[in-house]
Amino acid sequence: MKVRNNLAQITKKSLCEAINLDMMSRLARDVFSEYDLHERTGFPSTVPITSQLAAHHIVNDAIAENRFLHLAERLILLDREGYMGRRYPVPGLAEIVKQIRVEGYVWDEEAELFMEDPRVRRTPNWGRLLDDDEFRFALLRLDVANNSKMVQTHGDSAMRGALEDLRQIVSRCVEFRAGRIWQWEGDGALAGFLFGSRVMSAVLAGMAVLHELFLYDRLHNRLGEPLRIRAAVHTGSFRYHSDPEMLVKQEIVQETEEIESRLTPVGSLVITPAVAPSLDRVILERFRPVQHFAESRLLAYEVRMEGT
Amino acid sequence: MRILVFSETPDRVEGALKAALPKDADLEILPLRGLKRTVQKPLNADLVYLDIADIGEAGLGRYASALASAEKLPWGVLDTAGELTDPARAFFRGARDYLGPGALRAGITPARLSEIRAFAGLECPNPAAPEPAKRFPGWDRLPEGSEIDVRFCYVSVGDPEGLRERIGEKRLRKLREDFAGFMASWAAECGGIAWMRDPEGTLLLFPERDEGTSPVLAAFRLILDRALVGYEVFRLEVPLTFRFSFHAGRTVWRRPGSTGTIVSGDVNFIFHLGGKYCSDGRITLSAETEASIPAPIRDLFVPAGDFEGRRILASRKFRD
Repeated sequence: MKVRNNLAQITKKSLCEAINLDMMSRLARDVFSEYDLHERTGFPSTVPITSQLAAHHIVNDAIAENRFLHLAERLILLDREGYMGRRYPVPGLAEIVKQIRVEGYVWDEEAELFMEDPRVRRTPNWGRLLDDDEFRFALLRLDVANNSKMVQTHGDSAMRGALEDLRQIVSRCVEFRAGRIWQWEGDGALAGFLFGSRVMSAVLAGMAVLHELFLYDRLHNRLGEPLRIRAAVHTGSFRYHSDPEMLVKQEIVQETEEIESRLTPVGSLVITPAVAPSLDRVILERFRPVQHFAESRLLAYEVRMEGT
Repeated sequence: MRILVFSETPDRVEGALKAALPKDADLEILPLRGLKRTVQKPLNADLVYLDIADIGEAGLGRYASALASAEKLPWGVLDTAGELTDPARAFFRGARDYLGPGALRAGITPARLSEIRAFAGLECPNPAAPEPAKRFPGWDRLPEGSEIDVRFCYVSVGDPEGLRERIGEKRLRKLREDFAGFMASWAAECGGIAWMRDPEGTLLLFPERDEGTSPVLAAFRLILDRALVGYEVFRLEVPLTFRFSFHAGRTVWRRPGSTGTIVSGDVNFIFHLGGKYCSDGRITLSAETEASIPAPIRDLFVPAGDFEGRRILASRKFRD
């Protein structure tokens, strides 16, 4: 994120007015791991550092290392929640938030993080995640069932068209709910959700894809047979990487793929036991146990009509 | 130029046609087995060809009637190897073009496309054909007090008693208010207008013919998405569903908000159909609006008896 000089100056001033040097050190260590003010400023540990100088270095380092939003988030939480039972009102915070908004970022109340304003741009890292940032994500993985057989039957040209249609459907359903498609390889997609009610959003996006495909098969599908997918939603902590290859190597992503490919009935969206507790009952009640793998405690949703 | 080809051997056809088509032409090759179902849907193409390699004249007979059913879309025969001994038989069956080896060498030009369309009667108006229906002028331009032919749609939230029990009378009232506002925007997207309300639901009007999105299809989509709409739009923690009823007929036009008392058998009927006959999670239609059901979802509607002397159809229900 581009940090204008005015925003940097306001933040430095707010830091100085809100907290003492000791608190500044703590705050900095929340933003950067193992942050040492003396090391950063070049002063020996025996020489005291002024609050102004500390604030100057912390803000400049945050800007240089692309962690300014992380610093602003810590200030917001400090203002709201205090620290160790003590309140720390942060003067000028409203102006900081306002100027960040001008740069195209909005505050997400649920995640307590800034994210890029989707009306301005949509990037895979929501304009803020850095490699190795660890968060609790919700993942939606989906894949076309029997893709190879369908390519054999319908030919490359027809299948390419159908997969492009699917890609558009999935993008619409995922991005509408603040998710991001991280990988689209051949006939399968991996989408991540971090903001808002991330687990609900991932599940609703998966349901929406199934609904859209139900209509697509009737209105636009030219293959002569339904385009059927398997989809799975899982949640847990992992480290973000801008390289999709690094992303998919992580255990939770592999688990999600495994569940989607091995345990998900064709035409269904499956949710794992880790997902279910985060769903509101009105949505959870739409899911039923996966009958063939009852011991897995997976739940599945599919579009069903009476008389079918 | 967008050309659609149905073929058993897409790779061979792609090679043969690429050289014959202009560079900006868009070619899509689809499997033969899906032909009948595909041509029932609105097709974004200028021409359709049936590749008769491997199926011969017998195959031509099998697919000709389905191809002829695609309205305003001329079709022809692709015969790369010159297999048809009597190409005229293709024209007897309704084809408008024959692409044999000779024509393929000459190439498919925009001029040929024009000739095909003219031959199919699509570019020269047929004097015997009925006059095309007049375009709907827009709700603002309808003269107050004039008699108009419209489609009526009465819509309400489903299971009102269950909702009252779960969320209470006050929230149900608020939900109905919000729902009416939501449906007014929804109707506008399909070229319709929210006309009047009663305590349970809203009466929407749509032009006689679809102006863009089909309201029946949009209603079907809304019922399919009921769980998402209930949660994401209305923030409900309990299940929500809808009831849609459609009927076509005449009424006196008065602007929303100043309708006063309208004397119209059709208006009475739609209120009765929506209030007394329609059930949760279904679209109920009088026979007068049967043509409004888009062909691709027609099989999802079944006869639902008679009501006040009119034949009724209802959509099949999604299972919860």
